[in-house]
Amino acid sequence: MNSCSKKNDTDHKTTPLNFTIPPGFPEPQYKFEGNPLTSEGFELGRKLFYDGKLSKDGNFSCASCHQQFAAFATFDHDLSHGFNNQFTTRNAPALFNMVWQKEFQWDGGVNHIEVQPLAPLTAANEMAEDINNVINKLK
Amino acid sequence: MFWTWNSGYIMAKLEGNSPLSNEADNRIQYHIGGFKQADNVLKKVVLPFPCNTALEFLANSYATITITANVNAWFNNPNDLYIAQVPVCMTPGDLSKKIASNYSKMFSLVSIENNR
Repeated sequence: MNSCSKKNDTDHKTTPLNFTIPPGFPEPQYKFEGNPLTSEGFELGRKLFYDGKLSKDGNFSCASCHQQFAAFATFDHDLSHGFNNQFTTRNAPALFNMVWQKEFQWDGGVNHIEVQPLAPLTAANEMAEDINNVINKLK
Repeated sequence: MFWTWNSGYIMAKLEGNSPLSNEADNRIQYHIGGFKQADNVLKKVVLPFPCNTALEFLANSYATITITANVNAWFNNPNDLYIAQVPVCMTPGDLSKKIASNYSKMFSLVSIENNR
């Protein structure tokens, strides 16, 4: 399972996190060299995943549609929904084995996981935010 | 039904289709929830018994209370809800609270049958 790690400040001490490829699995698509896995990065990514501040009104974290108890898809609804009582046109894709994926989103329109979050984050019917505003809120 | 740990249970829902809805499949979906402080939609409903009616229990018998719910109550009193303007409610907040205030009045007690 991939983690949503952010670039670490080289002044901070970090704890490397091991990712073992299970037997029979191919090489990952994601290259960790530019963003090595660390415990701190993993925990930060998980914290942000559950943080509603990434959305315009504070109600829509990544986890609001990518629900852990539903393989990170949206449970008990056919269409996922976001800001201002708006439906999206699909259910949120379940999240697993992403480190082996070459493409993301239902249409495969995103080819790198590090930029994928920008799509729901800026969509008016999802999280309805702007990345610079999110960074200001998190500071 | 349930949203997430943060938004909580869906307390009541009304789903259907209307030509007045501009959503996919002309759907109407009102999912009403919210439990935190100002967002709380939980309602206590008190239904008075009809005059001269009591609930009676004798040993080895049961009583049946029949309650009806009027779906129309979701759409007004005290808040007018127009499908064409608002076909969807999907989150805790003001809209959920308005609709909950409406449907809290939808129940009425039809009859009590004692000692069956």
